Amino acid sequence: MDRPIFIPVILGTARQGRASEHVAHFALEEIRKRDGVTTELIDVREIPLTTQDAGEAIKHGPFAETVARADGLLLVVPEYNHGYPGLLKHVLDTNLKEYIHKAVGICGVSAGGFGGTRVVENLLPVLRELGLVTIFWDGNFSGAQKLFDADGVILDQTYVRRIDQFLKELIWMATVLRYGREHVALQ
Amino acid sequence: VTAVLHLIFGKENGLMAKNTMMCPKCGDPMNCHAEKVDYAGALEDPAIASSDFGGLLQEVHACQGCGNIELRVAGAHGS
Repeated sequence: MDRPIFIPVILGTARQGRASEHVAHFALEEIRKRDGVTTELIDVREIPLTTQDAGEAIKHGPFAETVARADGLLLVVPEYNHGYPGLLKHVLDTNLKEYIHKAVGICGVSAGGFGGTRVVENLLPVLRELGLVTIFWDGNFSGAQKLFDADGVILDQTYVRRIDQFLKELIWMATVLRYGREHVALQ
Repeated sequence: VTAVLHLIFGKENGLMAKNTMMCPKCGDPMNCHAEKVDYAGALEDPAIASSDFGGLLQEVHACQGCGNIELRVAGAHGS
């Protein structure tokens, strides 16, 4: 297994003033501390998709190529009215084969105290149908607007320990699933 | 992790068993690790839809060399 494990971070909202952006950068930096793992940021705001159609018909080449290269995905998803941003679903729906048997972990983000737990639960069946394999650790970022300083530095260090556990699980699952995709045949 | 998996599954488990797809990007053998029903594909050409699944059954192949992903209609190559 010469290629490093590749786990891009998808920032799942285009809303102005999004606190999720800090969470995404925090996750990126924590991934980059690990040997043998590479990452990059995918910002849904930067993926130019029409709203006149949907699904694989509007597949965006660079996004599809990045997901195809990925061994896993880390989704940073704010909770809007208990649900996920419609734009994120619009983006995710443009691929299919690129996701199958790849690991995915979700970092839920909320202004309130539940750390996006409702959006995480709502998103799980979507990810399953796409063929992704969900891990059993989540990131839960509560009170997101007050969780980072003006420079985007996280103020509560307990999140470092928590995301370490989350990433260990995500990387393990991504590693195992890559082996499975490339070496274990469907019977 | 990889070393343990090789011990459990064997390095060449299932490979080259039948109708191995070769990667169009790097030429390495690919592994069929999944099948998925494509309902949209069946709408475009109902004649090729599987009556068992109500859609087109697609094999998903991954390349050991470069990680490339390819789809192939299940059964069309004797698999």
